[in-house]
Amino acid sequence: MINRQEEEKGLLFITGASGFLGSHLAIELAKRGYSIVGLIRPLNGLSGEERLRRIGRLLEADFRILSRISVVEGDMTLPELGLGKDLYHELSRSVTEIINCAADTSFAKKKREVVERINVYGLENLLKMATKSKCSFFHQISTAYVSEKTSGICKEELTSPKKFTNAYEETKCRAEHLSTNVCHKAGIRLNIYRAGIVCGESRKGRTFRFNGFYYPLKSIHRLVESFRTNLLEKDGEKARKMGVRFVEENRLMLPLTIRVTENAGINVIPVDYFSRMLIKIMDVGNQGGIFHITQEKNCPLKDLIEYTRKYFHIEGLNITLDGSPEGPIERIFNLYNEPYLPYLQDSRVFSSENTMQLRDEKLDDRFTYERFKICMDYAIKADWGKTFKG
Amino acid sequence: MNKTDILQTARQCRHYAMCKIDFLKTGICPAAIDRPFVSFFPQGRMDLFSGVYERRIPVTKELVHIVESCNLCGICDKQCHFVTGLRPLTVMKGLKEYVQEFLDKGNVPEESKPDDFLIALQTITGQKWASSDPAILFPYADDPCPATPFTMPRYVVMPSNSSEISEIIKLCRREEIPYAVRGNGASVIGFVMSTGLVMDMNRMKGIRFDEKNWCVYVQPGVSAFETQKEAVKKGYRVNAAEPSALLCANMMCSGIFSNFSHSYGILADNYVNAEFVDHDGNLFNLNQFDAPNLFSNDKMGRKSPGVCTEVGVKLYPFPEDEEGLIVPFSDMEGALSFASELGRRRIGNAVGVLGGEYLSVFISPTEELARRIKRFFSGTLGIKYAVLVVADTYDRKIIQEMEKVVISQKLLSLLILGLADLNGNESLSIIEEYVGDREPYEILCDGEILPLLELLIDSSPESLAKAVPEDLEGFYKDLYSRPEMTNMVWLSMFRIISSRMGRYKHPVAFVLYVPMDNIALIMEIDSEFKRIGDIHHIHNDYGFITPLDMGKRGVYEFDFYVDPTDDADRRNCLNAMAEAVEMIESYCGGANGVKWIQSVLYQGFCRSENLLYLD
Repeated sequence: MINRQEEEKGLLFITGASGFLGSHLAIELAKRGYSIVGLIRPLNGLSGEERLRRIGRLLEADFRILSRISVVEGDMTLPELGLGKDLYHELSRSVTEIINCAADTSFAKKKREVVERINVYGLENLLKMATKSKCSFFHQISTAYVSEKTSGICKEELTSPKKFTNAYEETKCRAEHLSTNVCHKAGIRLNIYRAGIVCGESRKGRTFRFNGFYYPLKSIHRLVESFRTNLLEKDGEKARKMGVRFVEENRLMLPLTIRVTENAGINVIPVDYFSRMLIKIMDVGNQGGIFHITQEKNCPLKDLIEYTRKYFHIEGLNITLDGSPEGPIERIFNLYNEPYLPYLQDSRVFSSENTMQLRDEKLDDRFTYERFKICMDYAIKADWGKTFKG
Repeated sequence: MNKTDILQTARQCRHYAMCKIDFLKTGICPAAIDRPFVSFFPQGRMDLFSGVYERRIPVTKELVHIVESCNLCGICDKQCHFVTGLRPLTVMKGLKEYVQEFLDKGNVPEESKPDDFLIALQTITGQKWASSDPAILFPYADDPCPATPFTMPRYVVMPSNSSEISEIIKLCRREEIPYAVRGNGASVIGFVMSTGLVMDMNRMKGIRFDEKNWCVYVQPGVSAFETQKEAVKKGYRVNAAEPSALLCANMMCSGIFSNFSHSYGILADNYVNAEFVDHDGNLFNLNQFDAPNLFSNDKMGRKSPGVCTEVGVKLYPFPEDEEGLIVPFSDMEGALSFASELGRRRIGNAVGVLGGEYLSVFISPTEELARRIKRFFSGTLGIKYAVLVVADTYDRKIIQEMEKVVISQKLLSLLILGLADLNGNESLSIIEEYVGDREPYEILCDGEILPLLELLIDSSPESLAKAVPEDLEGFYKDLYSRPEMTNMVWLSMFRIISSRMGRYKHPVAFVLYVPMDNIALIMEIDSEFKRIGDIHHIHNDYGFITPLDMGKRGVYEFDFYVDPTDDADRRNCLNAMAEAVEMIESYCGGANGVKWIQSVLYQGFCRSENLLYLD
């Protein structure tokens, strides 16, 4: 095993550098003195540079740190990554490692084409570049949820499930196989990092993506706010008709029963934990392999429900193991969260032996109420991302 | 408001004649009750302000009389704001001030002297019903269609019966004076201008029911709204066009079509008999053995058969359990296929495929709100097209089995009364932020969550009234407290909100009959219209389609929108119209089942089959 710190740090090429994971990672690597080229798409009238600058401001990244990240505008789904011939060749000559953070994480079936285009065909373009370049190490960001839905433990190995929950899981699985095959043939070392469900930073809860575990919570927050308004600012009759009322100590009775399966739980990790672990693995685990960056134990859904009750001051939020009749509140919750409902019935547990071997410090990765509260405080302050344009 | 601003308002009058019918139960302009020439209505006085301010007509004694007849009651402001967003009361005041200033300066109003022809007309109708005074003539000289040249008539007459019409026609022939008949004193496509005499039929307002034979006979001064109102009182319905349009004029022009044409048909399907005075002044009716054959159709067009003095339109029964619903679609193809299917299966009494523009404009009381609602419907909810259906309980049940997602009457009422709260309502973020597989409208339309929507949306007449100027809030609150104002059946029958399509700009409507079994062709024609409108920088949009004859054919409208007071817009529109006409003619010549409404000009009495199925 070679320690990265003893090696010369080359030029890192990070795709999706304005994304949630990509930006955190790029800034964290820049802090450690890496020279980075970040591939960023211009979007909504903002240049790649401007997008990174805005994210940097949100994450309170020092100007000097950001200046270590050179932005190139491009698009993974285009030939030569949309960089133009000269820049493409120049990068191919100088890049020594590639971290592929670019991904579309949509769960909706109707987004399948876009998800596939970015997660699979975009990767093909990137691997083409890798094989033509000086790249000696390819880092593929994946998800722990590519694993087969089993009652046992999901291992850190390539997997070929027959069924997937959505196109995101399926394409990330295909991407693992694709990168493994191409890198193997080209003699490029490959690390695959499978993340759990990533939430905001552990200390401040900062994030600018509020999908994943945030999404169902956002719907509960919106409902709670609407009912509170109706009860406090109007006559509250319509809320009461649905069984919503204030109970003691200003707590809201919100009759919402969510269907789950026994042992269901989610694997949530803070983004800074993800970045630190990934860099640690990069630094010392450079022989290639698959690494789960996950919690050792899932956060049981019943705990998450308890956190939700406590945080939003609500009662009546319950779980059920069997189907119970839907009222209007359940109906909107279920309709709204349709793409996420399978994860409320997911009991996959992830082993992280490979990762643990490389971990030389004890990181507190438990998803506690305190951590939940930090995430929710930030989400509400940021109005679930409405205040951020980047 | 200064005179230039008043002029700007005056010039924006759409000439829809909505101020001539009591569609909001406000009553109509009291000034026009005694002598209903257009000049005595707000519409006419809007034109008169432009006329005197731009010195195109002199101040005459008649003008002073017209101006004095207005008591500034403000009915026009309510009626006109509802339709066009305009506030004509400022113009009424401006006109009074202008004339007062004129008189205060010691000027003497002119007095028009009658010539022999006018005296002859007055002998037929009585003195007060024929005029050559510019103040009477001017409002009959123009309309908002960009292709219509200003055409000042020499005389305007208001006959009271067929005999007077016959005598007037004979007089015109003798004196070689050209004449035109105008329905409600309004025309938006410029076919009823005359350099000679204009006959205004507003004194002939007789309505006679023949219930045993399911028929109502109406004279040429009776509007669609008035006919429908009387029919509904007796428990019937008629197939009627826009509310201010006169039934006889509609039949004479191109026949009646509406969403109810889905079941009631078009052209000759709609009437039992009609009476005319021909161009020689002779009376005939269509059940007469030697009557001209008005059942045939000549696609090259034909001359008007004369003056229609009465039409017997069919009465239809309607089930008490009838209700409206809207089936939303994210694409045109889906909406047209569904409408066509309803035709084939004979489901519903009225069917219309509306575009996002119509839907949002029709239901919104202001233009600003309509723009926001269009963005909300189309952008946030994903509703690009909407199939409006009026149907009984049985048919509604079938529709819900065919298409799970519908906007029920209850939901539509909730949305209409909550329009002012829909866009920007934080509580609805839950729908805006939805990222799943359904169209967002599917969530909104889910019947189970209606109680929640009732809580989330501030929906009430008071809430809607917040969208209008403060001084009209009370009026709108009372108006929208009436259940019919959000009732899809009532609104489909009386059509009082469809005139709002001219609120932003005047629509130049292209109406085509199209084969509903060839949806690809309809979509191709629609894209062609859009392409032409876009390249000429003309605001344009799909209007509607109603399936006809069991979904075999459909009547389709596409609109170009023009500000007739903006020269550049007018020029662009004229260029676009010229190109659109070429395009239409090429489709009419080459594609089976495509007919332009020009093919039925002055042939509104012809058999629908002759138009739809004979080449």
